[in-house]
Amino acid sequence: MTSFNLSGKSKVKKNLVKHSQADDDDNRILGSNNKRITTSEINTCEIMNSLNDKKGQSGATVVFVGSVRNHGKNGLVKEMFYESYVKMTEERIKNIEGRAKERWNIKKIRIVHRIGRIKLGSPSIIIALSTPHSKDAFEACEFILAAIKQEVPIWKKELLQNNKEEWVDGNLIREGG
Amino acid sequence: MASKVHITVLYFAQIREATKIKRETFELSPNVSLRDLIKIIHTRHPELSNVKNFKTSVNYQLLNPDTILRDEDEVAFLPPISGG
Repeated sequence: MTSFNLSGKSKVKKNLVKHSQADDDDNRILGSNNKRITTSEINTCEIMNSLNDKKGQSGATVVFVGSVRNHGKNGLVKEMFYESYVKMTEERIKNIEGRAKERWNIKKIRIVHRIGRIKLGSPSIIIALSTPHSKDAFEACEFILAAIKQEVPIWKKELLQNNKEEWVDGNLIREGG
Repeated sequence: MASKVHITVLYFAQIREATKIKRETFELSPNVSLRDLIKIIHTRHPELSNVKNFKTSVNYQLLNPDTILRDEDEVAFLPPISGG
């Protein structure tokens, strides 16, 4: 607790930080009703299977999987660390899903972003959705990925092969739609 | 005398590393704006003077700096994002 008035004294209680993993606050939130952020490996097969449509309403399913690349803006990468403002991220991805559903005829959708340390080649994000026609599915997926990059409070840090660590310089967050 | 307002402040990524803390709570006089709080935080954390590129949210919304803070508001310092 920091007590402070504009003229005055202060008392401080600080939460020191562990940089390498999702912290206790995040884990508490992740253990609740969160569906879109995970600290675990993303099960791409399970998510793709969850879009199965036995009624045949969807003729198209598009899946985007983003994974950790071995080269980045700051050099050769050996691992990536993702951090998130989990509660705000959940709300914002949910909002993006809603706007996409208003614009395209989306029958099913799953979006999951992983946080914490992620190894080379492992998925950091999956966007999977189904629509009656392929054009809508491709457009919606592209819209969602672009919106996540501009509106969702997630940060990534490159853990480099030369043992340096560098945050990836991105875009200032903005309001959506 | 009006009661104090209690504001939780969260720091992320580069800003979290600069302050070396993830969160702290401020007890403020009433009618303090977001802009006032940012000044207070810069006084408390002079290491943030080099951090120019960030946004602030209040309860997950990107609000005008003139917004008056209310009791139990959650303010977050958000450096440029890079998800996906």
